Amino acid sequence: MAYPPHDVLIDNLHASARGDGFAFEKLYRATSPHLYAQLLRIVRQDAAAQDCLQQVYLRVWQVAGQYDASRARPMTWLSTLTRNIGIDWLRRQRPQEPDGDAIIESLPGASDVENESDIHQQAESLQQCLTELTAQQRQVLELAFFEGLTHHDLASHLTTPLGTVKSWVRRGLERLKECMTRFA
Amino acid sequence: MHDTFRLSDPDEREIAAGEYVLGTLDRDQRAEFEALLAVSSELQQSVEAWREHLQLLNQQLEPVTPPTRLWSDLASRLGLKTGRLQRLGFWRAFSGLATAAALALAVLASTPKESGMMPGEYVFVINQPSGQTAWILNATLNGKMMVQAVSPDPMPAGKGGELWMMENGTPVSLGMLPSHGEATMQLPAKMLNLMKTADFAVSMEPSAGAPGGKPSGPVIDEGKLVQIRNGTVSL
Repeated sequence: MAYPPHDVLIDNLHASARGDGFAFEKLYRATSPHLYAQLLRIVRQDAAAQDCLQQVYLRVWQVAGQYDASRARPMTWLSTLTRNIGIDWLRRQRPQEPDGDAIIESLPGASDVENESDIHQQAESLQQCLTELTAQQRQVLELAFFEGLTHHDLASHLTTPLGTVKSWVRRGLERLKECMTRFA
Repeated sequence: MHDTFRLSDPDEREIAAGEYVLGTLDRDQRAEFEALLAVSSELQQSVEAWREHLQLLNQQLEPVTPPTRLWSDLASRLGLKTGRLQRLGFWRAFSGLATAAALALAVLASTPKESGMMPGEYVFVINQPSGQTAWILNATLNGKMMVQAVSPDPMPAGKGGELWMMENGTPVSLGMLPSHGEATMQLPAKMLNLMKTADFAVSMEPSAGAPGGKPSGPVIDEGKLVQIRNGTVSL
């Protein structure tokens, strides 16, 4: 799915850092559906995802001044912050709630205002990089990325030797990078 | 296979940066990596690049709009005035009544001031299919048009909103609307007498302007200018 234009988000982040609540509201409206989807994928519970989303934006409001457009795209920066908060939440739950067997599920109730075919084409060309991964490579990357699993966690989760899991991760990363570099 | 963690090797270092961002390193490897990361700008750049690569995993997710109360909770926790964007929706409700019986609304004075709107004798609120106000256009009697971007929905790269005015059945381009901030455009003198009654439309077009000067993309909104008198709208 295509993201809102970078320049608009960058402006809104800079203005939020100066305490502009109106810009912050615009930032929230443009980005929250993406970050909420990300949290739903990580924590898998509506109420927890909403709590985490609040934490994310409270944090964004506090640290917007640290955003450096030369080092990260705005959505990447926001998503990294979101992922950290989501995975922290997950780790706090883990002792009493082991991971289920669900790996890649579609998200519920996706509502989408962008129906322009160009947007989909643009997103699809990048999505192609994900389809170039083998099922195992994609599975380990997604488990690690969304569920915070380390090499060791992955090996026990998938009951697969550590060396094999490491190799799937490594090849997956290499292939993804190679494909992304081709599109860049 | 790499059972050993050898950060002295550039290829291994590059993969380790990916594994670090992905979060698969165990605690010791992570500590070792971070010690090097703290002093290596090359490795910092590598980590930043991996964050962009792996962002693809987030980008594949379909957006889900969170419950509306979330924003109001957040705004009250931060002590922000809330609902300034929704208040623009109030305008939209009335602009939709343009053909209904004449009404005078004393509502304009507050919102334009807050959003830094420039004065004008006429207004056209441009809404998008999502229901959100994208732009507000103010026009003076002498054909000067000031457009403010409120919250245009994201468009594909290289696309933008183009403003059209119908002149005897033919759309005439008045220019591209700003994706953020404000822009001013001037109506050609020969079209001035049509301004008050003409239909206006906004369509999605290449940022450089529609090919051949004719609208080619989907229409975002259409409507007429609504007259403002002494801070009120006469519909």
